[in-house]
Amino acid sequence: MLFSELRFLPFFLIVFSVHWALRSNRSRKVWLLLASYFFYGCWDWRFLSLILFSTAVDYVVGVQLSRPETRKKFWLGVSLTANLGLLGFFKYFGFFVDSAVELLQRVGFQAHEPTLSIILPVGISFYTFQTLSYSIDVYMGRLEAVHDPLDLAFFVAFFPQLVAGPIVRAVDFLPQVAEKRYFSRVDVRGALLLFLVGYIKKACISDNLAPYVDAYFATPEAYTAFASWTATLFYSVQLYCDFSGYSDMAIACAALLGYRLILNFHFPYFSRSIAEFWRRWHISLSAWIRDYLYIALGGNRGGRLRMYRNLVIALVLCGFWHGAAWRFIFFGAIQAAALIARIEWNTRVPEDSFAKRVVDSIAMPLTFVFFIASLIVFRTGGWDHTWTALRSFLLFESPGSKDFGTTVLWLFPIFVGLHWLSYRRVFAGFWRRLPDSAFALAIGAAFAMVQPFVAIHAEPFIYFQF
Amino acid sequence: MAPGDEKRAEAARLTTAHRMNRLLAEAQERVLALVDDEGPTEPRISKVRAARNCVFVLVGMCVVFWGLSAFQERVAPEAVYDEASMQRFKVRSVAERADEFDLFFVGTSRVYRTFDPVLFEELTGEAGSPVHAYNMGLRGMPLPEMRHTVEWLLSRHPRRLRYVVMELTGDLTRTFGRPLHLENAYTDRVVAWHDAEETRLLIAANLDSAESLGFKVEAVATHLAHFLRRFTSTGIGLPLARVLLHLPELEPESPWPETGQVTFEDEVAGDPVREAAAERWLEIFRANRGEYEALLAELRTAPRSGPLDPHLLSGIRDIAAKVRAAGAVPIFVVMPPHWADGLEVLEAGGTDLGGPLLYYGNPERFPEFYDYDNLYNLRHLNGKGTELFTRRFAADFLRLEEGR
Repeated sequence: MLFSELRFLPFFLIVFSVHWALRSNRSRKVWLLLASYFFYGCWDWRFLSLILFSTAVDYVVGVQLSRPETRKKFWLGVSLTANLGLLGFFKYFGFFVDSAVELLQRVGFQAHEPTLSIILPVGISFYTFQTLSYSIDVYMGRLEAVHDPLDLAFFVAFFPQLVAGPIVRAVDFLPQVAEKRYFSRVDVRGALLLFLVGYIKKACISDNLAPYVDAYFATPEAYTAFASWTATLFYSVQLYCDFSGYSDMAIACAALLGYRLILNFHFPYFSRSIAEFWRRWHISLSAWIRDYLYIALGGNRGGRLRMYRNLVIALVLCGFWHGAAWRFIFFGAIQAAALIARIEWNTRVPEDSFAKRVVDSIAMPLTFVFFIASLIVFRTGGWDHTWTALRSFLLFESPGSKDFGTTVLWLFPIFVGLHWLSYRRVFAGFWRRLPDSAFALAIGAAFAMVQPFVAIHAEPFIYFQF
Repeated sequence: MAPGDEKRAEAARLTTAHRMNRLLAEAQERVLALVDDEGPTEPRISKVRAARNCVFVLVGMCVVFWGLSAFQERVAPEAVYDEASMQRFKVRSVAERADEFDLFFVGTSRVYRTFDPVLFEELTGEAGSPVHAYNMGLRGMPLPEMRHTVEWLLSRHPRRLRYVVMELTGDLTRTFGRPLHLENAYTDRVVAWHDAEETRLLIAANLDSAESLGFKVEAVATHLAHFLRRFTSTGIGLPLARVLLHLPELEPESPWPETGQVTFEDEVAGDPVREAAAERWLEIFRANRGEYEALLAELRTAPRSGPLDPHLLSGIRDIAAKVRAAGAVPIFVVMPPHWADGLEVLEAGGTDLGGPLLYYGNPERFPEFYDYDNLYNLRHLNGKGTELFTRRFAADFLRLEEGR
C-alpha cells in the first residue's frame, strides 16, 4: 500500500478516526500498532515475523542493558548480530555468494551458483537501523530502556516511517510514545499542506518521469548524448521527488496522528558542496551514519589519514546500504572521493586565489552536475550500460539515435522554478492567512486540481527496493 | 592578503556555513512544530466547525472534479489517453474521420489482427455496394470497453454510419481465464471506459457470479477504484495539455495503420529485434502442434455451455438498442479461433441479442479457422487466415444485407 494510492485514503481515514476516538494512550498505541502490522502485511505478511523477531531481540537486549550488573558489550553484540545478521542474510547473502562464485570462477575454480533466491523484505534496511539506534543509545546511556514491549514494538512498526523512513531514532521517538497525544496540538493545516506537497512530488512528478528514465537506462546505447542529459536530469528529479515526497507524506501522516518525525530532505540540489549535499539529502540516514559509524570509528580525530579512512568506510557503507550491488559501493566511494577532494582543495588552495573564487562562484551547479553524474553509476545496471551512459553524459559520445525530443525540456525550468519558490517559502504565507472555511475549500480544490496530473500507474517508491 | 581581508573572508565563509545551518535548523523546527507538545490540550474548534470544514474540503474537491471533467468534455473529449498507444491513435483517427466510414468493427485483438477493411471494401464493392470500414479492434478489449467504445462512436454522429459490428466475449468476470479486472490494469485505457454504466454492469456481474468472495471483493474494489480515477480526471492532465498546447504526439512503437488493422507480420516487419522475437514465438507454437491438436479435440467434445449470464445479455441488448437508435444496424460476431468461453449456447440460435449474430466458433463448421497452418498462435489467425476470415465475413455480411 503506497501513500499515493487510492486505497491508502480509506485506510488512513479509518486509522485516524479510530485513533482520535480512543481515549487512553495505551489503547491508541495498540490500535496504531495493529494498523501498522496490517499496513506492512499488505506487502507480505510473512515478513512481519522479522519485525517481531527484531523487536523481541531489542526488547530483551534493552532490559538486560538497563541492569546494573550486566555484560553490556555482550548484549550489544547480541543486538548487532541479530539485526545485522537479518539484514545481511536477506539483503546481502545473494550478493556475497554471487561475488564469491564469480571470483572463484575467474581464478579457475569450478563453482556453481546456488539456487537459493531470497526476497528482500520491504523496509528491512530502515527498521534495522531504527532498532540498532535503540540498542546503541541504551548501551551508551543516552536513553532509558523501555520496559513496556508495546512501546518498543510501536516505535519499530509505526507505519508512516516503517517501510522507507525517515530513520527515526529511539531517543527522538520513545519520549513521544510515553505521553498522551492531543489533537489540539496538531498543526492540521501544516500537515495537510506537507502531504499535498509530497503527493505532488511523488504522484505528479516522479511517476510521470519514470517511463522516460526507465526507457533510457534500459538501453542507453540506443539514445543520443542529448537524451542522456535529459534522462539523467529527469532521474535526479525523479529520485528526489520520489523519496522526499514519501518522506513529506510520512511526516504529515505521523503529525496527523500526533507524532513528530524528523526532516529528511532540505533542498539538497541547492547545496554548494558535496559535504553540504549530504547534510541535506536523506538527512536521517546521513546523520545515523555520522553518529553511529563515522564518529564510532574515530571521526575527525587521529589525523587526516585516519579521518579519510573513516570517511571512506562510512560512505562506502552508506552506498552499500542502498543495495547489494557493486554499483552502490562505487557510488559511495565516489562520494567519499569527492568529500576528500573538497577537503584537500579547501586546505591547499588559498581563500583569495582566483581558482577558488571561480569554483566558489559555480559551486552550486558544479555540485549538482557531479551528483547527477554519480547517479548514472547508481542507476544503471551492468558495467557496459554504465560506461555507455557515462561516456554519453560526460563526453557526448553515443552510438544511439533515439531522443526524447526537445519539448520535454520545458518541464525542467518549471521544476527548478517551483523548487526555488518553495525554498523561498513563497507559498507558505498564502495558506496560513486563509480563514478556516476558505482553507478547507482551497485544500480540497488543490488536491482535486493535482489529480489530473497524477500518473494512472502508481510506481512503487524507489527507496522501497533499498 | 592583509590581515583584515583574511578575517573578512573567514567571516564570509562562516556566514555562508552558518546561514545554511540556520536554514536547516529552521526547516527542522518547522517540521517538528507540526506537533506542538506545549500546545493546548483542549480542542481548538468545536466539533460542528470541524465537521463543516470537512464538508468544505469535499465541496472544494467535487467542484473542481466537476469543472475539470466538464472542461475536458468540452474542449478535448478525446484527451483521455497519454500513451503512444493504438487506442489513442484510433480514437484520434476516428474523431477526425468518423464521417468517412459506413461500418465500424469493434472488438479484441482477434478483430484488430484479423479483419482486413481494404479487402472487405473490395469484396463488397465487387458485389455492387462497397462498404468503407474501419477496424476498431484493440488488444484485450472486454465487453464493457466494447460497449463504451461503441457509445463513443455513436456520440460522434458519423454521417455515413450504417453498421456497427461487435465482437462478443463471453464473460464479465474473466477473460481467457484471467480476472477481467486485471486486464490492461493501471493503463489510462482501462480508466477511460470505467464510466458509471460500465462499472455498475461489472459490479453487478461480479456480485452475482460464482467466483469466490475474495475474487469478488478484489474485482469490485478494482472496478470502483478505476471509476473513481475516471471521476477525478486522474491522468488526463498531460493529454489535455498536449492537445491545448499543441505539443507533438509521442512516438509510436510501430507504424499506425490507416485502416485500423495490423497483422502480426506487419507489426514486426522492418525491426530485426522484434522479427527475431516473433520468429521465436512462432517456433514455440509450431513445436507444440500435438498440444494444439489435443486442445482442438477437447473443444470438439466439450459440452455446450448453459444460458448466457443475464448481465452480459442485458449489456449486449442495451448496446444493440443504442446502435439501432442511432439509425445503424448492430451485428454481433463470435470471432475465430474461439475456445469455449460460455458463448457456445448462441450457436443454436434462439437468444435474442438485439441484432444478427455471425458465429465462427465451431471448428466443425469452420475448419479453415482452426487449421494449424492458418494460425499465428492459439488465439489469432495469421495472414492467410486473415484473408480467409475477411472473405467469409464479407460473404456472410452481404447475405445479411440482402436479407434486409
